[in-house]
Amino acid sequence: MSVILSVEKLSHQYKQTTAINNVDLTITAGECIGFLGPNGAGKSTLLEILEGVKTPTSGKVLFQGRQLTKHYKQQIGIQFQSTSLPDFLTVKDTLLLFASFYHTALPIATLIEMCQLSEVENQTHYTLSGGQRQRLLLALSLVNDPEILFLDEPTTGLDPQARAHFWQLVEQIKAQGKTIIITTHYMEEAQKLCDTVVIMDRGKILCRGAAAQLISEHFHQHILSIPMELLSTPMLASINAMANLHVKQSATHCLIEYNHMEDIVAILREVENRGITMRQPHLEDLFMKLTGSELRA
Amino acid sequence: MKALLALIQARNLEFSRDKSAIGWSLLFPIIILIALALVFDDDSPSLYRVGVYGPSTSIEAVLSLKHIDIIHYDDLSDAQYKVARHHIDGLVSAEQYWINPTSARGYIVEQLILAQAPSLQKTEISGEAVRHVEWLLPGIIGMNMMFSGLYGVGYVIVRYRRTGVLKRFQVTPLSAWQFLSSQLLSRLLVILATAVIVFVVICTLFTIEIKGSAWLLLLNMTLGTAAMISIGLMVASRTRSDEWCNGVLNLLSWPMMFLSGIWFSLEGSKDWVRLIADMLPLTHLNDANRAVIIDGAGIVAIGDHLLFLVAIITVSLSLASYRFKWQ
Ligand SMILES: Nc1ncnc2c1ncn2[C@@H]1O[C@H](COP(=O)(O)OP(=O)(O)OP(=O)(O)O)[C@@H](O)[C@H]1O
Ligand SMILES: [Mg+2]
Repeated sequence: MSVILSVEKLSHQYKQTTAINNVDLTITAGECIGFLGPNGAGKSTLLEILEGVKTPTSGKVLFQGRQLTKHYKQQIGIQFQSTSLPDFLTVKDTLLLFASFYHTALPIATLIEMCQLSEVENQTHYTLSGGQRQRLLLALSLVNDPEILFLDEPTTGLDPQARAHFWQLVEQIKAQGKTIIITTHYMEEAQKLCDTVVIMDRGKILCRGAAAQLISEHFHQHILSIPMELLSTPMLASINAMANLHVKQSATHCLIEYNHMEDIVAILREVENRGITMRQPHLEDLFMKLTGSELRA
Repeated sequence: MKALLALIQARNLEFSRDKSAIGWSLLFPIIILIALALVFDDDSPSLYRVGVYGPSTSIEAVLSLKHIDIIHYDDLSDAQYKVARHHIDGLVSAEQYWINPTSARGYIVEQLILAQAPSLQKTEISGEAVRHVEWLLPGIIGMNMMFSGLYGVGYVIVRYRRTGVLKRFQVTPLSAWQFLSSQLLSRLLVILATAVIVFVVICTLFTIEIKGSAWLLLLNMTLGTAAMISIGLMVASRTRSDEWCNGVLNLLSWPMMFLSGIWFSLEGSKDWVRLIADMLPLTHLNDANRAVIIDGAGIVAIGDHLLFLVAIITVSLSLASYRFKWQ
């Protein structure tokens, strides 16, 4: 499989903040890659550098092995984290306007149908609901039938149904072999849509890989989660001292990773069996472990 | 090209759906003109006005007449023009006097002059009076063009930049140059269309006749408006701040408002004031408009004005696209 986008030793410095800190990354054609990270991790900044909107302080972006040219803009579609559109234009007008910017564009009717906008095609865009607006923004990013699609938190603020529909759309686009680069704060979204997950914090890439593989690399097989209020200080100390366990505390819970049941029997005897869960580790645990913060911070 | 046309159309759609903007840009100049025409209904000032050219030693008797305004002129042809246009009722020099035979007030003034200095030679200068509204019309239209040109594009672009519309455009293949020209052209169309409507309404209402070529007038207004829009584009080329934009536009528009001869003629004012006035595009737009409407001037006569406007357009647009920032 061929590398479509790559960066080496990429850094970006704002006045106060180092938003991207010496990042290496390659993205394969046809891959759906998801960026996770707490607020301010540098996801949007990284995306904007990959899009060619921002020039990094150091390092270069290569598209199919070559530096970005004017032609690159014909090949990419972008949905920013937040954006505005020209006033007073209807959904259809807006799509027509953006279509006119490209050499080749998909028929507007196709886009409207694909993104389920036919009911609102003659409505001005600021009268749209959040989900409809999100679909319009997605349609705009698809106008030129792009090779690479950048979606910066496309489902933030959507209701579960709208999000599920959005996932369907993304699956459709994936099926066409497009490369999709997405950021999200929703674990299940990353787990469901992305072939590759990248966890970032403070401008650095902490890990990268398929979600399942990352989880098995970073965790014992199971997790025991105990609400903090059930644990006294001496109990915590004794748990921390036990062998074969990995213990991590968050504000609300004590998370204990273990491989064999016999390693935790002693704990289960001590603690009231209320609010305790035993489960498989999931992406959220990985995120917590690596960034030290809750996902939806 | 496709992108340019689509952008122009989108911008015009935006404008045409913004009902208040249309109403305002049409009604404002018409209301001002009608109001001014009513306020200045009385075209005849209560005093007689006599111009004096050159040394006045031998005609002191004339100058000592009471209740007559005496205005001194250094430029003879300018003074003669004032007689032709009934701006003054007569003109005297040490040897002769000039009178407009079509002016009733001129006849009275002539009798007064002859009674005081019977030896002066008479010369007739004929010409129609210029009504106040006729004099104001080109100025008000020019002023309206200035305001809608300067402020119309500036605010839209600054707002687009601040809210991220421009950033969204930036990631498409659209170039800064395409974007700027589309804003220029769509605004130009709108302003010219409203100007033509205002013009027709006022001309019919007050039976004003355009002496020169209407096409030349349109050319001049096109260049003048394009110059104003280009300046607006230049000012808005990289700022995100409404306030800053507003400040600079005010700084540019207020001097034009008062120094471009819309409301009153600048003759007789200090050299440096005239120098500033000559650098303002509205002065050239206005002078050329008046020359075409009132004096029937041809393209050669207003050539300098047109060239000046073209220069302003070229410089401002180049600066605007060179300095342009999407974010
Ligand atoms: N234009 C800017 N000027 C200065 N600092 C900035 C600018 N844009 C972003 N930053 C800073 O850079 C860091 C990374 O920001 P970025 O927007 O890339 O984060 P993010 O991962 O997208 O966060 P979120 O999940 O909240 O969208 C943050 O600390 C932010 O404050
Ligand atoms: Mg972000």
